[in-house]
Amino acid sequence: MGDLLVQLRPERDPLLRVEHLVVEFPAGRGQRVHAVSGVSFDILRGETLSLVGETGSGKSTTALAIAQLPKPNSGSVIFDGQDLTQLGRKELRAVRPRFQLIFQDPISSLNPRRRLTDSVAEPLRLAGRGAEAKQLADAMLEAVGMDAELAASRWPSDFSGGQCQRASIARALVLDPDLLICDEPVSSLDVSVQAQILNLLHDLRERYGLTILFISHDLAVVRNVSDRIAVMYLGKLCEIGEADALYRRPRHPYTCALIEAIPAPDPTSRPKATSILGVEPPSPITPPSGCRYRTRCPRAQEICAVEEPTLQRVEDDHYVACHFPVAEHAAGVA
Amino acid sequence: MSSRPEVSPVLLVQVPPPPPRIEAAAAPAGGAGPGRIVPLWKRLGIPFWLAVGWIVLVAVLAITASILPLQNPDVGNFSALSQGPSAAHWFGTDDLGRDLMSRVIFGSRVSLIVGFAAAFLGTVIGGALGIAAGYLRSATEGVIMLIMDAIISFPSLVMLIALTTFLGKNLVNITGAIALVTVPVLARLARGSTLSVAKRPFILAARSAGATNFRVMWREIVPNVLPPLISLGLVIVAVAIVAEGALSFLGFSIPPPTPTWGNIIASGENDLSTAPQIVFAPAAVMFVTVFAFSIAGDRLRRIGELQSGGI
Amino acid sequence: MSTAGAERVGAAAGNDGAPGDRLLEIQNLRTYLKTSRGVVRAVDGVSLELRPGTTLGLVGESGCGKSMLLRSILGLLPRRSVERQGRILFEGQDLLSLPPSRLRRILGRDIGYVAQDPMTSLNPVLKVGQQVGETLRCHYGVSRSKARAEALELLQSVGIPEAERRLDQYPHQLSGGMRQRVSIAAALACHPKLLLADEPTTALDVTVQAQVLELLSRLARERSMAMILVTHDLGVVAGRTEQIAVMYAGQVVELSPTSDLFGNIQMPYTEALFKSIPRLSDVPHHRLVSIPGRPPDLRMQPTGCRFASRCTYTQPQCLTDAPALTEPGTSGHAYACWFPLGLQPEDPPADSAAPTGAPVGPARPARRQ
Repeated sequence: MGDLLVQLRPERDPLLRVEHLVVEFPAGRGQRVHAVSGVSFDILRGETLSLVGETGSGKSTTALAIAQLPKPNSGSVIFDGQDLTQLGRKELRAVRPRFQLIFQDPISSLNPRRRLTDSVAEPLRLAGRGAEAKQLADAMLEAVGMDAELAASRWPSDFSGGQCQRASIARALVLDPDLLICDEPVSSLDVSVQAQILNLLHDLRERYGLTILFISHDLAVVRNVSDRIAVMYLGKLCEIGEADALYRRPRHPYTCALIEAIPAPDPTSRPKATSILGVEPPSPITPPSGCRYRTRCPRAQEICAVEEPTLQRVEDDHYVACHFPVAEHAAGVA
Repeated sequence: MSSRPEVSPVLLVQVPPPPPRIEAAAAPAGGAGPGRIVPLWKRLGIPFWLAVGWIVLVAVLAITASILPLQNPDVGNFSALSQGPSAAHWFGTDDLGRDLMSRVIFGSRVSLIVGFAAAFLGTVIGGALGIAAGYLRSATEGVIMLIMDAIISFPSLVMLIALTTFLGKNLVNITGAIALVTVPVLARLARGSTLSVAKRPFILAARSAGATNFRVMWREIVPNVLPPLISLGLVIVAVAIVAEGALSFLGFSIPPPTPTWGNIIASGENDLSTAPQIVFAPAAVMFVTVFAFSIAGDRLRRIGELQSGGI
Repeated sequence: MSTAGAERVGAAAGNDGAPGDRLLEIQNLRTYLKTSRGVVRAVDGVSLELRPGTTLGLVGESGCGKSMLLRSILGLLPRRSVERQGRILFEGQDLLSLPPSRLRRILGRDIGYVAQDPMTSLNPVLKVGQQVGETLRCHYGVSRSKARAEALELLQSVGIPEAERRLDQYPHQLSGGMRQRVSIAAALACHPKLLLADEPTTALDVTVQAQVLELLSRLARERSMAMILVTHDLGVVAGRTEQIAVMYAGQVVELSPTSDLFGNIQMPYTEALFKSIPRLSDVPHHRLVSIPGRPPDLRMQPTGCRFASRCTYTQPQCLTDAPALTEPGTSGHAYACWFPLGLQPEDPPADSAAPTGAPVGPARPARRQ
């Protein structure tokens, strides 16, 4: 199995190592949704890995499966040497404070019936540190740029999306976790607020030495925050590698299509919609055989339907799963 | 300084200033703006407050009945049988000459106690079962909902009569029996509400902070499910009062001479044409009380819905 | 005189050209919502023009009033709690003063509407074919078979494969992108002269987004249809519109021909918006320029410029006098700012009283785009 995991870097003692992750859901009538079908990657301490993909790619499912919410169907999630999938309930609860999540919708990420500071303090109370809970929560709220006094007396509905997201971040960081999993944290925020939150994450990352798994569908946002990027399509990893390399020299046709499709605020440029075929993405219940992207790929050949491509190294820290990767100079951003 | 700073490349990579206080200018939405034109107590409306006023009145009268200057409900004045409302007897008298008003007031004790207690019991039990079913899903949900369906399918009046006959006609049994009948309705509501609350990310956040299932249900779900549950609970009080009334009319509730609204109505059944006040006095009070609970519960439910995001 | 193709016509905030030229003219529209917490001024004095066959991009963040503006044009607002003032002239008729029966004849037939969320904008219990043909049957009394034939053609024209089969499917059997195409087909059924598209691609994946936007542009060209494209994404409108209007706190703060806007942004809010978008060409891990603070509470009527509290270039005058939307030159580029970015520091502030205010200086300060 060793060569299936070329993209992993065990010699560098990663904080998180995910191997052959599989998540499937029943879909009625005996069918199953193959949300994640064998995904492997790792994250080094202090690194930010972004998982990019569109609806149905399985990126959010991957994030939740890593956090064992719920446990994946198969595969291993090795967090600082421990395989989370093998832990019992109590042991898992003991480790949980070390990896925390932030979600997409800021308002429903907070209990509407609890004051903001109490929500932020709750993880501390759960951990048995009730005495210092309020103090630490206040400090954390200030650190994310909120007025602790106001937060103590108000409910989430009194705050804006951006502020609620800050509070969610405060809550996630209050237990001093090693790993922060962000599931589309800025997707439902306005552009100006998005920028505020991204800057905040940047500052906090430096200040607390966080390792971040960042899920997003927006390649431009991801460009700003990532050290490394993994592109997913229909439950599989297409391309993974160092961020700069991936943007400048994307090799997978899907990655190229994603990059081309992004609208740029420049009146002379018009995003091309030509490099993706067809109008409807295939269903994760009956994914295409072989390479799952082949039904929309303009470069597909017979072999793509027969044999599923595995991740191959194309340059240092850059791996692609494709039988006919795009030529190096053909696409990408300057 | 009159000149505007230029936006230079340096600005984009400079050392970041401390995060700005976002609260600075605009007050949060609920707060100090020319905002709350209509405060909550006003939005609840006059009908709500009238209903609450009536309920409070009846409750106070029931509690203080023994010390109020009322006529003895058990002693009849044989010279004033089946009389209509008069200065001496505000509601009139029944066929044994007993003052109807004091009988109705004393009778309200049973109705209110049973009504509140049964609804409270039903809410607590039904709420707990519903939340457990909605959050824990799988086998737990299957078993609980099966039992709920079974209870609902059984004709409720028959069940009440059977229970009180076999267990004995006292306050505890009647309260318990009526509570049993109301549990499925409240459980259904609690389950539905839990299903929609449990989908929200703050539940995932609580779990990822290490909360046990019980803790999630108690600290995260209950506060969110409680408002609609309480609103329904008030309406259920009304239902319980009617149920007790029906039981005692049929003779399956607290036996006479203790007055209850139902048995007063029963006693006046035969004299409906000649002495209608015996039926109408308790019936009218019961009607208004039940109506009041329904209005109060409904109004609270509407306000709760509006606050959680309807327009 | 309709125009086919992307003819760049700059519509000024003042008057320009014969009135018959303008398909849609909004004059000082105000939409006030009465809520239990006060009166919300969702749209507070907006004036816009649209010529036939041209596309206007309406850009702004959430709460700026852009969706409200569309719904005000269509009248899709609860009557009791909403007050609209001003005039909305569509082909010369004031939509605000039309009786509902006459308004109904225009909606759907001459004006089409595509909503934001494809998941909820189609009726889940009606077949796709029925929904697409509904406006035809409603406005033209077309027979069911003819409506079906038209619906088939429409589905094909919006690029849905196997259109015949799709006619009898239900919305839940289609993906988000397909549903949005169906919504577009339904909106175009009666060949409207104007299409109002409210964030039509926000809920879609980026690859599908590109396809749907391309589709909208092509259809607008082919049918010489005017379009108002509402979005929060400046990138979406960059290459597809003749004119862009930027909204903030219920007002239009910058209005410009697209070709002139991006190299020549005048209003600081537009600049801030532009700068806070993360871009592929950015250096990784750099701090984005964000706009501090929050948009103002729409219940309060502020004195002075509404963006002043968050603007990097605020001067004392900005806090006391509200700038009006003015167009100093003839390029068709209007903005509401006392100290627009194109000015030199020594120039006097743009004065709304003078018809030609301070000229845009020839030497602009170097700005990083």
